[in-house]
Amino acid sequence: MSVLETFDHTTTRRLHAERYPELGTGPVSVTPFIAPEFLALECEHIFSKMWLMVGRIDALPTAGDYFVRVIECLNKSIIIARGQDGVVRGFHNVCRHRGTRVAAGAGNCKYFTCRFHGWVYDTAGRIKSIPDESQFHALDKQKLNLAPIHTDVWNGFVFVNFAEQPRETLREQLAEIGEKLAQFPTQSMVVSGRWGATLKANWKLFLDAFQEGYHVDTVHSGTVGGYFTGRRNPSCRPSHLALYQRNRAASFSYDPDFTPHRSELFSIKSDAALTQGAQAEQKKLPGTNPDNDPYYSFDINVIFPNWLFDTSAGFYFVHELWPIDATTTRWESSLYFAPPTRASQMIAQEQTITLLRDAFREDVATSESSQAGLNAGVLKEIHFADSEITCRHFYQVVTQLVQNGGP
Amino acid sequence: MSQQLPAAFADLAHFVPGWNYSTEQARSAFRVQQSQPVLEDFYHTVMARLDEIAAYLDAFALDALTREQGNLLELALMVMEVAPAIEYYHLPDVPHAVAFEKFDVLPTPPRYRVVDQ
Repeated sequence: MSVLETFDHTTTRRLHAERYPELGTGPVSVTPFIAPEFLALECEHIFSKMWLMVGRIDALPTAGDYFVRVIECLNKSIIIARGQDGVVRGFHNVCRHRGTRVAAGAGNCKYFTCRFHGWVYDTAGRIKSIPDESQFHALDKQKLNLAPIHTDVWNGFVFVNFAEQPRETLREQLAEIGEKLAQFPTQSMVVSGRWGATLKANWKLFLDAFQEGYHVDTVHSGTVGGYFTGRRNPSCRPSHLALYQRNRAASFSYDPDFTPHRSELFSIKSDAALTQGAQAEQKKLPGTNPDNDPYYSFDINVIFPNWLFDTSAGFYFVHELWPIDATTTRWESSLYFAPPTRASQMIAQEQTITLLRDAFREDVATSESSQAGLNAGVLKEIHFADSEITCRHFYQVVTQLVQNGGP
Repeated sequence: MSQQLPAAFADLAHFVPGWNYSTEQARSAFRVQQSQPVLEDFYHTVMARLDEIAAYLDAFALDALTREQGNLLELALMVMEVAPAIEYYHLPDVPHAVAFEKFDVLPTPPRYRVVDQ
């Protein structure tokens, strides 16, 4: 039995480097975190060619429901809509006449109407009406539907791919993570908390804050640091860790010496909670706690390129990191719980909503500070500990994809 | 004048209006503007009644609460909003965190409905 399997979180051995020697152990260049040229390559070879998660199918329960998503680094605005035939499709939000947006925000409609000259498209993207059409010269209406985007759905998450012909299917891109979490019951949960921030930090640097536990004892000293550290695991090392081709997963444990506060005692008995202790293992859901850690708390699943699908017993949360420029990122996070059927359940969920929000505010605070440090040009390289091998793996996947010209 | 809370919780009436908000956005913005002693008073007063509040409200359908029941539920949600400030960091707002003004608390679908009589 390996040291990792016995959950010895204080060993001086560097277990992950032993298991993944191909990732190396040296420092890495800061260039990918600061250079506009590098972001341009990422946009060309990663964001323009790979499946991107853009929302939940729950937002589109009925025919005519739609939402608009802006992908700033690619200069794209897209519409995801459920047509009258029930099919969910993606389109470029660009009128075929002169390029104007035909939709904004979210809602339900039968038609998208361009606000410039009134061209009308149905919710399947087909051109339906052109005012004063006789004044155009030989329009080929077959070519005037909203430009479609490859769109697919996995476990209720909607994805798009901007490539003319995607090199991989969505399932191929999700690979092991897709298989691991195919049965996680997202359909039984609804969005209960949603937060965002646009901050001066590179998207990878920002994402790294959510894929290692090494920061927990310091960054979360005001909130949940104590829950995830303690004598057994003082540096919040992962209890499970798996690096796949481009995705990765880790699980984190709680401190068995942790004493819940009054609000937490209420939440634990009334519903699921972030700091629910043994309940996470007792009520564990499909795809979680792969190593059966007795002190399991939650899993992170970092899905390439830019989102995390983090799971626990009774809830999950998602982080999305969208580059705006090389050192500016839009972060959005959503927390999902079972829709409450009783007041006590709703009150219990509110405890996690608040505590997790406060912890996320701690997480995102470091990103601008780190970025400013890298921007100063003092450092040519940065260091990743063995417990930060997730960040090292991410770095290597990105740099290799950029070198190879995509997947 | 109609009562603000169900009769069994009349002792909490001085928190309504003032502490009852229908969204996380409003609750969080309110919390960070209060002083710690004010938050502590609210927390200890309402937390002491939380089990009774929950047991009382559990008898009613969440999609058809009266205004009084809705106010009571919102006080319970507010005690959870205030809880980390009392139980964890002992300040109205979480320290060493991104400024509240730079952080968006985004809207979520309502989880209960108040039906005005």
